[in-house]
Amino acid sequence: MNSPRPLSPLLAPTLLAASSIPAGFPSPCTDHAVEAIDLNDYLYLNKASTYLFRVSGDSMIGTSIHDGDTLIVDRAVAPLHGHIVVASVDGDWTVKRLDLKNKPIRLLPENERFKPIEFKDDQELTIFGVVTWNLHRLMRT
Amino acid sequence: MRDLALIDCNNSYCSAERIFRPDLSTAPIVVLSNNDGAVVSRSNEAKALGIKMGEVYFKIKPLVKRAGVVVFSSNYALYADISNRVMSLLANFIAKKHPRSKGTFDYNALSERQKNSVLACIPVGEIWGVGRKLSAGLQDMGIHSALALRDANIPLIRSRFGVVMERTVRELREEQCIELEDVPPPRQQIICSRSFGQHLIDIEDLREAVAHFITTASVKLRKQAGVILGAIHSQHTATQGDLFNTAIDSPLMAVLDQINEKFGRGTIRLSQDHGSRRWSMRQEQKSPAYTTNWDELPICH
Repeated sequence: MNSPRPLSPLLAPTLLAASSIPAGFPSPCTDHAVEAIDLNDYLYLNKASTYLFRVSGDSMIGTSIHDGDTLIVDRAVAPLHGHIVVASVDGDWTVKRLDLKNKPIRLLPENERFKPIEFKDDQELTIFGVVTWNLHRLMRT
Repeated sequence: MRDLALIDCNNSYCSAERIFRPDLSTAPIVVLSNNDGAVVSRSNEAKALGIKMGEVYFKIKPLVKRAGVVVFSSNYALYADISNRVMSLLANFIAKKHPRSKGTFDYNALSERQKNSVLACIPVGEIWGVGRKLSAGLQDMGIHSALALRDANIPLIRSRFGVVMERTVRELREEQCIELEDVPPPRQQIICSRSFGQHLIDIEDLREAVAHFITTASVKLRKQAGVILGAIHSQHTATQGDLFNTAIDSPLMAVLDQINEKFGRGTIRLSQDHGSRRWSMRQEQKSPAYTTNWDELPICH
C-alpha cells in the first residue's frame, strides 16, 4: 500500500456542516438554532453615531466610572437632564452628568473632590454625545 | 432619463477633524496631502484667507503663521471611518423618507434660462474630466464656461479633444452617454506609489521603499483576485522570487496577509523591507486615529 500523502491545504474543507449527518434520529436542536449573542449589536458598537472615549481621572467615580474605563458615546441620542454626557470644556473633553433643570445649566461630577461646571447665559455648551455604556475591565492581563 | 443625486460633504477632511476639535469650529484650518506637500482641504475661514485648493504648503507657511491657521496632516484612517458613517447615516435617512432639508439643490427643477445662468458661472476647468491642459486648450478656442462647452460644435470638439470630451459635451446637453459603473471593472493596474519624504541618496533606501510598495500593491490585488497573481509580471527578478509566481505559493501570501491584518500592517515584511522608513512620508501634524486605534481614543476627564 502507498504511504499516505498529506492533504493539500488547498483542498481542505472550508465549510463545516452545521450539524452532523444523523445515523440515528435527528437532533431536536437543529430547528431551534439561533445566532449567538453579538456584543457589537447589543452595545450598538457599529452604529454610525457611536464613538469610544477613554476616561482619565475619577471625577465620576460615584457612578462607577473609573480612570482607564472606556465609554460608549452616542451622538444620535438627544441629551436630556440626568444623562451622563461627554462635553467640551475649555478645549478638553469632560464626562459629567447633565443638569438642565436648574439655572444656570451645569455639568455635575460624581465625586466630592470636584466642583460642578457652570454655563452662564452667553456660554456655549458643546456636547459630543450621551454616554450609553461604560466598559470597565475587571481582569488585568 | 434617470435622476442622479450627488452627495458631498463640506470640506470633508476639515469637517472630520472638527468633530474631535470643537475648539476649531470657527478657526481657519487646512489638511495637507501625502508628505505634507499640498493643501487638500480648507475650512471656509481658510478659504477666506485666500488659501487655494492644491496650494503647495511651504508657499503658505508665512500666511499660516501670521493668521494662526491650524494645519493637519492627512489622517486617512479617520476620514475613511467618518465617510463610512456618513454613508450609513444617509442610507438610514433616505430609508425613513424625511422631508427635504435645506442644503439640497435640484438641477432638474431649474428652467432653461436658470440652467444657462448656472452653467455660465462655472469655469470650464471645474468640469470633471477637464484638467489644466484641456482647460487651456478649450480657452484658446474661446470656451471659458460650462455653458460655452455645452454649446460647442461637437465634431470640432471630437476632432481636437477626442471622444471622451465629446461625451462630456453631450452629458452637459443632458444626453446620458457615460455609463454609471455599478461594479468597477477589475483593475488592470494597481498604483501604489508615494513621493519620498526626503531626498534619497542610498540605493538601499530606494530598494526598501519599492519592496514595501510591492507588498501593499500585492495585498490590494489578492483581495480582488483571490489568490492568483499570475496576470502581473515583474520585469526584474525579485530576490524573493515567489511574490509574483503562480497559485502554489499563494497560501503563504494569504497567511502573510492574515497575520498583518490581525497584528498590524508590517508585522511580517519581505526581507528587503528593513523598516528603516527613511523614505516614508512626512506626516508631522497628524491627529490621533480617534476611531480606528484603541491606543488613540479621545480622552475625557
